[in-house]
Amino acid sequence: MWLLPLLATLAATTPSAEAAGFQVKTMRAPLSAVEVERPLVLGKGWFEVSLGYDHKFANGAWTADGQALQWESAQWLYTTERLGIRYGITRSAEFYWDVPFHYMRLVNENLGTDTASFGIGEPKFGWKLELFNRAIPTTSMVLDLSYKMPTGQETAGTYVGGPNTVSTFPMSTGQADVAAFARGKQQFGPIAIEASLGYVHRFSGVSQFVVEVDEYQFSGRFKPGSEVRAELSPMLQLGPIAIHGDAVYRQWFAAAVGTTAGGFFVDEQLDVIQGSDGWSFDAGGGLVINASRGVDILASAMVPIRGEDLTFFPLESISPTRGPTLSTSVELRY
Amino acid sequence: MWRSLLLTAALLSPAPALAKNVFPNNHPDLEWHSIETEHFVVHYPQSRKKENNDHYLTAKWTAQRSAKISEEMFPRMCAEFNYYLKERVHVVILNQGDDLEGFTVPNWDWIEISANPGSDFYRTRSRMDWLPDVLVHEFAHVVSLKANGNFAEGSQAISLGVLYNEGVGNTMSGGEVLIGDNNPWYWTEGGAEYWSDQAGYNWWTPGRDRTVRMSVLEDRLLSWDEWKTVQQSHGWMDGERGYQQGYSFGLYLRERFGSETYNKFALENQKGFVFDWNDHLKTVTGVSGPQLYDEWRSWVTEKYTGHFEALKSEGETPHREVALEAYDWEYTDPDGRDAFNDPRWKRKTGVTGELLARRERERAREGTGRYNMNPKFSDDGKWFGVNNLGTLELSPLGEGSLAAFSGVVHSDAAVSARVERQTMGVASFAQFGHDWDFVPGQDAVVVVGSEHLLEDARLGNQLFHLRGEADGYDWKNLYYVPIAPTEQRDGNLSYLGHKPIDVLGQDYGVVPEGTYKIPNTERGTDASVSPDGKKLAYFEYTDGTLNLVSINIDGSDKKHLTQYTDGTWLQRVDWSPDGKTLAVSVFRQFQQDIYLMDADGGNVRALMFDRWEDGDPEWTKDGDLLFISDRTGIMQVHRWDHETGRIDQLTNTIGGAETPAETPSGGLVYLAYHANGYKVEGAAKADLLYKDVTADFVTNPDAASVAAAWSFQEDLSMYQSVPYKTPLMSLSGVPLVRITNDARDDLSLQAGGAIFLQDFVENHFVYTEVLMGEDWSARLQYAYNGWYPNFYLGLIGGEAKFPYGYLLDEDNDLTTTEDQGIYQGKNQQYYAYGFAGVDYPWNSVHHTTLTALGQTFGFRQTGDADYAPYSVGGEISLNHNISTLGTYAPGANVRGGRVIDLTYAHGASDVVYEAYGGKTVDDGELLDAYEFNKGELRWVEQIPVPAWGGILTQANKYRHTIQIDFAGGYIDRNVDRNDEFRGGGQHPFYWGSSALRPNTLFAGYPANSLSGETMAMINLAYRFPIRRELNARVGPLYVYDVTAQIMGTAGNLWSFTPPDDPSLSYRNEFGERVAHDPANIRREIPFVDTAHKNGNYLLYDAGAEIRVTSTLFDSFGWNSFFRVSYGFNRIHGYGDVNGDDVSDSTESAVGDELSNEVEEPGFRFYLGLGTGW
Repeated sequence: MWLLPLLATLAATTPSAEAAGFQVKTMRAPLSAVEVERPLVLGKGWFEVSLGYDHKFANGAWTADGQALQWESAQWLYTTERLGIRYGITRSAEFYWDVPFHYMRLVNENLGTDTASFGIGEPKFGWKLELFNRAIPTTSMVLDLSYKMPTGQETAGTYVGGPNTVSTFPMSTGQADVAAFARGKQQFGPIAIEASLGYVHRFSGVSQFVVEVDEYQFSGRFKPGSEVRAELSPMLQLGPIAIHGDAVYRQWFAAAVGTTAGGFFVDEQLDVIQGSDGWSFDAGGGLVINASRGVDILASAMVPIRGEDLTFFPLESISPTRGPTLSTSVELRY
Repeated sequence: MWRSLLLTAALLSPAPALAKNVFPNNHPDLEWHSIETEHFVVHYPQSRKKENNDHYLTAKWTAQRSAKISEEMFPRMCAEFNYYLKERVHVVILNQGDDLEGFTVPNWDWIEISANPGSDFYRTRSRMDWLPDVLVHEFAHVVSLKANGNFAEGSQAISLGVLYNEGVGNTMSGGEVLIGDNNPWYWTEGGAEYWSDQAGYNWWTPGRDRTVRMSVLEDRLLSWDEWKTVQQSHGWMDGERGYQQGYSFGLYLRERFGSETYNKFALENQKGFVFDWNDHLKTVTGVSGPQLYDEWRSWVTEKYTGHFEALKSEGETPHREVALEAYDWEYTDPDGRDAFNDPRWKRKTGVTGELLARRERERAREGTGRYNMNPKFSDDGKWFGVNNLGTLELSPLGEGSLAAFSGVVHSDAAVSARVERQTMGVASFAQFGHDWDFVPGQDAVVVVGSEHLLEDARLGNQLFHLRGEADGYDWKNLYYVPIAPTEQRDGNLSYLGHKPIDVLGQDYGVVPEGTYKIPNTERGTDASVSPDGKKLAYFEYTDGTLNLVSINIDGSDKKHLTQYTDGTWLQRVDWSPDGKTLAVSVFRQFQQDIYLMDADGGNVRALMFDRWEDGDPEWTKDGDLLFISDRTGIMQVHRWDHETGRIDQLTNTIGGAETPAETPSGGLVYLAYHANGYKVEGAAKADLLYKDVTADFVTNPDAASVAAAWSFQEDLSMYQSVPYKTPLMSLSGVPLVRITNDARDDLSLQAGGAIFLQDFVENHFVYTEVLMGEDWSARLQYAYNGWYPNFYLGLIGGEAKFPYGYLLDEDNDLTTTEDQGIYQGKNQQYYAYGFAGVDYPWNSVHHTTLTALGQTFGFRQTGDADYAPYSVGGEISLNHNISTLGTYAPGANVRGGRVIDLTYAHGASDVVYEAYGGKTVDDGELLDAYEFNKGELRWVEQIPVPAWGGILTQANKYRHTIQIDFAGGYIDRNVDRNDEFRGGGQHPFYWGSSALRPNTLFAGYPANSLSGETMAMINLAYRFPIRRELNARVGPLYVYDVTAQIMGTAGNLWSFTPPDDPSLSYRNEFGERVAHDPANIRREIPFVDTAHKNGNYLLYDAGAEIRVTSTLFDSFGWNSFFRVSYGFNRIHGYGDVNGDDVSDSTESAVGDELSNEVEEPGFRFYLGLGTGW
C-alpha cells in the first residue's frame, strides 16, 4: 500500500486541485427528498455509494421438516459489511453492484472451538429497467435482473469438513446465480407499498468445499436449489423519516451434488439431495432517515418466523440460520 | 497454474505516453493560466521564460477573446435546446504547434482548440473568423449532445464482451460490443454547424455552399448510409462533406418543418434508448429518414442545377484541368459531363456494378491530385509549379504545352512520360496549404517547411524515422530551395530532373543541395519574394494573430510592417512588379478586404472596404491586381486595373477559382474546387469574362472609417487570468461486463467498471478498473505528464479460481482403462503487481521507458485455510520504443510503418512455496532465489509491396502489403517457467486489437504453450484488400473494407535440457529430474538443438485471416476477424497439453517430467466479432 501515501503526497503538492470533476450536471434527473416519493430506479446521472452493516446472531436453525432447532452450545455470529454502488445510467435504467464482506464466528463451548473468518463474499451485479413510471403520486414498475458471483473463498480449510475440524469458513457457494424480479411501488400520499416477486436460478459449479470423498482431495460439483421469492414492504413517510415494514417469503427447490459430467450438460451426474427443498418466512421493519437529498441513513431488523432446512451451514445465502438480523447503512449520493 | 498470471501480466503496460506534438499540452517549459467567467474557464499556456527563448509563446489574447465569445454565445446556444448548463465548460487553448485543432468531449465539459487555425481553414470555409467558428461549433456539440444524451454523462456506454476458449476443438471465439448513444455523423457535425448559424455565427459561407454544390453537380453526395457513418469513409473531403451536407439538411428541415426541427431530434432521443437514432426523424417529422434524405437530395439538386444553369446563362468561362494527359472525365459539352457523372460509369479496366464503378471513378479522379494549390509560373516562364499536399511540384512546362491553353492534348505517351520525369518534387517537405514563391533571377523558390526539415529529410532519418524535433516544438519556417535538376537516368533514357530515392520500392524525397532555413523566420509562412530577389514579405504568427514582416532573403534586416496583437489574420501577400507596393488581404473587425501598402509598411490604403470576402491578391506583370471575391456567392477571380480603378470579373465557373496567377500569355491558372479534390485549372486570356463589376465594390471608402477599423482595439481587459488550479474533468467510467471461461465447462461472468479522471490540461491522469466475478481483478494507475520524463505508477491485483481435471491411472498403464478415473478440482490463485517508472518521449516516434516492477503470486488449494505464496520477484527494465504508427491500432491494412520494442531487464525471483520446500525445479535445476538478465526485441515492419515489374506493380497499386513480425529474446540463465518467454496463439480480446504488435505469431499452437529462455520467432504475412470501400449495409453493420492475410511462422523457444545420464540426476517427490550438479543441465543452442520442452527442432505454422472493418449501429467502430492457423508440429509440454482440461498424471512414458499428453498437428480457429484482430 505504498501507493496511497505517494498519491496523497502528490495531491498535496499539487496547487489547490479543484473538484470540477464532481460538479452538478444539468442532465441529472430530479430526485425527491423523501423516500416515499422515490421511484425504484435511481435517476439518470445519480451516483450512489452505500456502506452497510448487518449483524446476525444465531444459536439455532431450522430442521429439514421446519422445526426450530436450538443448538446446545454453539453460537453463530454472521456479519456482513456491505459496499453498494448504484448508477442511474439512463432516465429509466440503473446499474448496481453489491459487494459484501463477511466476518463470521462460531463458538462451541462444548467442543472448545472458536473459529472466525473474514473475507469477501458473493458480489452481485444488477440492472434495473423501469417499465413504467409516474410521478406524484409515484408509480414505479421495474424489471430487476442480477447476477451473483462466487468470488469469496470456498474452502473449509481442511479436506474433511465439519464444525469440529474447519479452520475457516467458506464465503461463497462456488456457483453463480441469475435472478429476475418484477418490482412495483405505489404511493398514496405519505404511504407507499413496495412489492416484488422473482425467481433466482442457481447454476451448478465446482465448489471447493464439496470434497470428493474417495480421494479426499478433489472438488465436487454443487447446485443449490433455485428459488422463488416474494417481498412486501409498506412504508409511511413522516417528515424526513420513512418507517417501513418488511415481509419476505422464500421457496427453494432441492439441491444436487456430484461430479461433473462431460459434454455440454455438466449437471447430468448430480444427485438430488432429498429434503433439501424448503421455504422460509421472515418479517421485520425499519426506518429511513432522509437526512438530505444526498444522504440517507437506514436501520432495520429482520426476524425469521418460520423455515426449513439446515443442509448447507454455514452458507447463509442458501441456508440461513435462525436468528435476528440487525442492519444499518448510510447512502451517499451525488 | 500460470495461465491467469500470464493474462494479468499482459495487462501490464506503460502509462499512456503522451508524445509531444500528439498531446502537446504538457511542455515543461510552459505554465498554465486560467480565465474564469460565469459559465466557462479558459486555460492557456505561456512560456515561463521570455528572454533568449526561441520558442516563446503565449495564448493570452486568444484566451481572453475566447472567454468573451464563450459568454456571448452561451445563452443563445442553450436557448436552442432550452438546455441551460449548470456545469462550467473548460476551454483549453493550444498554441504549441502551428496546426489546426478543435474538439470537444461534452461529458467531460472539455473543449480544446488551437489558437492557430493552420493553413487550410480559410480555403475550406471561405471565411477567416476562426475563434467564433471553432468555439461555437464545439460548444454546439456540448449542448446538443448533452441534450441528446440518453445515457448519463458519467458513463455514456456499456461494454459487453465474451470470450470462449475451447481446448479440444482448438477455437477461441470472442465478441465485444459497446452500447451507448449512437447519434449519426451528419446530425452531430452538421447540426453543430447549423446551430452555430441559428445562434448567429458560422453562417452558410461560399465555401460551405461550394462543398455541397459541387458534390451535387458531380454526383458525389454522401449516400444515406454513408452520411450516417462517414467517420470511416475514405473519400476526399468526405468529412467536410458530411459536415456541410448535415448543415444543408438542417436548413432544408428548417424551411420545411420549422427552425427547431433539428433540435427536436435531440430531445426525442433523450426520452429513451433506441437502436436506430434515425427513427427520430419519422417521429418528429412524420417522414422516414431515407425518404427525407431523398427529398432533401431532390431539393439541393434542383437548387444547384438551377444555380449552374443561371451561371451558364451568364457565360461560363471555358477552363480545363492543367494536366499532361486527357482523362476520361474531360468533356467539351454538358452531355460529356453528364456521361461522366453517370454512376454506371465504367472504367476502362471493366469494373461493373453501379456502386463499384462509382467508387473506381472517384478514385481515378482523385488520382490526379486532391490538394493542388497555389499554381504559378516563374517570371521567365521557364517553370510551372504547384503545391500538391506539401510537395512543391515544378515542371519545365511552357504554357503552350498545357492543353488548358493550347487545346492540344498530348497523344504521345512518351512525351507525357518525359515531362513527368522532369517534374520535380523539389520540396517534398513543404507544408501543405501555404503559399510559396519563385525567387526572381534565380532558379530557386521560397517555401514553408517545418523547423527540423533539413534533419528530418536526411535519408537515414527518413528510413529509420529519426526526427530532429526533440524539444516539443516543430514550428513552421521559411526555406530557400534551389531548383537544381541533375542528370538522371531511367533505363537508356537520360534527362535532367530530380528523382526521389527508391528504397524497396518506396520513394524518399531529397532536399536539393543548397537548401537553407532562412534565419529569423520562426512561425513564418506564405512568403512573397521581391522582384529583385533580395527581400521577402511574409506572415509571422503569434497568439492567434498574423503580422506582416519583411526580411532579407538571408534572414537579415527583419522588420514588422504591422504590429497586431488582436487576432488580425492575413491571407496572401504579393510584391508589386516595381517592388514598391505590397498587396495583402486582411481579415479584421469581421471584414476581409485587400489593402495596399508601401514596401516599408507605410501608406496603408484599402483597395476596397465592403462586405465581400476579398482575398488572394496577386499582381500581374503590368501592375494590375488579381484577387478573388465571393461577390457572386462563388469565389471568382477579379482583376483591378491600377490605372483606372476598374474591377473586372475574370472567371465564372461553378466550382469557383482561387489562388490565381497570371500565365505568361495573360491567361490564368488557379485552384478549382471539385468534389474530388482541389485541382489546378487554366483558362486562356481570350476565354476570360472581363465583366465590369466595379460598382459592386466599395473602392473609395471613407478614409476615417478605414482608419478607425485599422486602429480598433477590442477591450478585453475584464478577462484577467489566475494561475491554473488543476481542475479535474468530470469523473467518468464505463460499466464492463465480461463473460469468459477458465475451463470448457466453466463459463462465468465478471462485471465492474473502468473509471477515468484527469485534469483539463492532462498533467494528471488516473485510471482504475475493477472487475468482480468468480475471478476478480483491480487496477489503479496514475501518471504525471507535466514534465519530461513522464512519471507513472500503478497497482494490479486479483484472485482467480481455476477448475482442473486429473486423470488418475492406478497401474500407470494407459492401455488399461478400468482403473482410470477423472477427478475435478478447483484451486485459487492471487496475484499482485506494483510498478512505477518514467517515460521520456523523445518525439512522436521514439520514447524510452524505465520501469521497476514487483510481483508476487500464490495459491490456495482445496483444504488450504490460507494462501501459500509461490514466489516473489521483480525486475527493472529499460525499454526503447519506436513506433511510426502512433499509439492506437491503425486500420486493417497498414500501408507501411514500423514498431520496434527493445527491452533490457534485470530480474530477481524467489520461490517461497512451502509445499515445495521453498524451491522449484525447472529443466533439471533446483531453483530458489536467483537473479537474471533479459534482453528482448520485437520488430514489426509493414512494407507495401514494392512496385517492381508488372505483377508487383499491380499488387502495389491494389495495396498489397508485406508484414514482418520478429520476436527474439535471451535470458542469461535457467529460470522458473513463470519467468520464461512464452509463445502461442493470442486472441485480441486479451491482448488488444493491434497491427502494432500482431497476434499472429505461432497462432497454430495453443496460447502460452511454448516457453524457454531463448526465443526466436518470425512471422511473415502477406495482406491484401478483397474489397475496399465496399460500403454495404449488413443488418446493423455498415461494412467498409474486407481484407485478407496469409501468414506463416517459423522459429522456436529453447530452454535448458536436464541431464540424460541417470547417474547425474535424481528424482524428487514429484518425479522431476534434478541434477546433482546444476552445471550438468545444458543450455539448448538455438537452431542447433531440439527444444526438449516441446520436442521440436523448429516449429512452423501457416494460416489465413479475414478482417472486416465495419460500424455497428452506424456509430461504433466494430472490426472483426476470422483466423485459421495450422501448426505443423506435434508438441508436448507440462500438464494439460491437449487442452481438454484434464491433466494426465500417469507416470511419464518417456521417463521425464513432461506430460504424456501431446498436441497433435492441426488447425486452430480464432473468431473475433468486434474485437479487432
